[in-house]
Amino acid sequence: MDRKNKILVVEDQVWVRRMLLEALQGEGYEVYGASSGPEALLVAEEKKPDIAVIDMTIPGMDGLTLISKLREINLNIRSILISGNSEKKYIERALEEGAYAYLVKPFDISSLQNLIKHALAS
Amino acid sequence: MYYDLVKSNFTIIKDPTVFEDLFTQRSYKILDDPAVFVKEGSHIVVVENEAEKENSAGYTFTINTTIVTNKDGIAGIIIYCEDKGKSEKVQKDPSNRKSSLEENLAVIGELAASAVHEIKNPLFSIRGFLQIIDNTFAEDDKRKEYVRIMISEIDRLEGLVRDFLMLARTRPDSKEQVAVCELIREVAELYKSSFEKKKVKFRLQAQDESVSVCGNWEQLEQVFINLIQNALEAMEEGGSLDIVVSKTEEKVIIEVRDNGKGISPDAEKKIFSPFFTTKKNGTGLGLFLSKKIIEDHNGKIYFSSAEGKGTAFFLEFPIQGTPVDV
Repeated sequence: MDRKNKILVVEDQVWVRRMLLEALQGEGYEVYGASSGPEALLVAEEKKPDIAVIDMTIPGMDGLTLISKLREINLNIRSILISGNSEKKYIERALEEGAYAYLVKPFDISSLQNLIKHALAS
Repeated sequence: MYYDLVKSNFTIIKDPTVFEDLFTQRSYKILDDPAVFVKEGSHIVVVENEAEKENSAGYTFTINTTIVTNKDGIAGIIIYCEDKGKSEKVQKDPSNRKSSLEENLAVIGELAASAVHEIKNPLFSIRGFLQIIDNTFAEDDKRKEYVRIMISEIDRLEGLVRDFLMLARTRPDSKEQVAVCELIREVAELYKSSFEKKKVKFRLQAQDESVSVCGNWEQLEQVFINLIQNALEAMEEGGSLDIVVSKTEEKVIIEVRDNGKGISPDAEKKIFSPFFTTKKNGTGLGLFLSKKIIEDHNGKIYFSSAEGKGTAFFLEFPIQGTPVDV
């Protein structure tokens, strides 16, 4: 049997994290939450997620630093950044630094679900 | 705008005739008898800004006092101050003029910028949970309709928050040369699927593809998003939207023309006013914001419209940052 794909959600806002976890769990993924950069690294070491959904401004380190540190753990991990900031320069930088995609909050949950499907298929 | 002197924006410092605006840190001295504060009713008082003593004829405030009593007697006094702006003499001096609207906007802007992210997160979690609930109802369930209304209302709130944030940022802090055609194409790309859905023909014509204006990319992008969105909503299926970019020696002129339903004469007077909207889901800030952005770029915006035939918006920007004569 295929193992379930694992998704790590790094978001310090408790209800946003819970909502994302539930929405993704409903899609059949195995989900893990973390509220800070360091916590995310611990979870990633242990669970080896395929996808990380990361809020840009989390305690401990910024989203971009977390992306590169997650890569040190698993080179194939795909990171989707989420943020309230819709400035073009900000988004471009995130994509240059290795984010798979960038979603501006608040977004439609189905956009995230579709992105994850794409990321897992590619 | 009303201020609650006792509880919020203003605080009385030391001397009961002097109070401070917590937003601007300016302090004001009441030139009238401070006893007005304890007289119930509405009183006009003249106050003096401590920092501008020498050239100031004072500000006028309307003070509304309500005395709250309980069975033991006076429980407290609620005082509202309505800022009437500077008194006549000062307002007539153009070097000293700063409209109270502008000051109010600056305050709103500061607040919006700091509050906006705090507002976005709860909106986002509410929206997400609603979507999860939505998936649990059958298609013909009435509750599904309610949930969708809630989601669309959340989107409207989100639009308001976003527009307020834009207002907070309208002073272009970082200006660069913005390639107008590239920017318009990028915005049009966002609307590609909407154009296709509504079978709208979009055309961009430019005398000179490389024409640029000095400004802030995000803000100008917002202007075109607003104009294209409005045009799209004003058109029936199969309409056409044309943007024409031209240039003279002093200015760049951009025309955004649709063949939609046009603007009614009644609405024409109000379209740039804040919170005026003819849409069910509009924030009423789009054109107000666009006008502010363009004016902050030393440009101007105007329109001509015929009901049932269409609307054309014209934007003018100075070349090399020289103001367009208004």
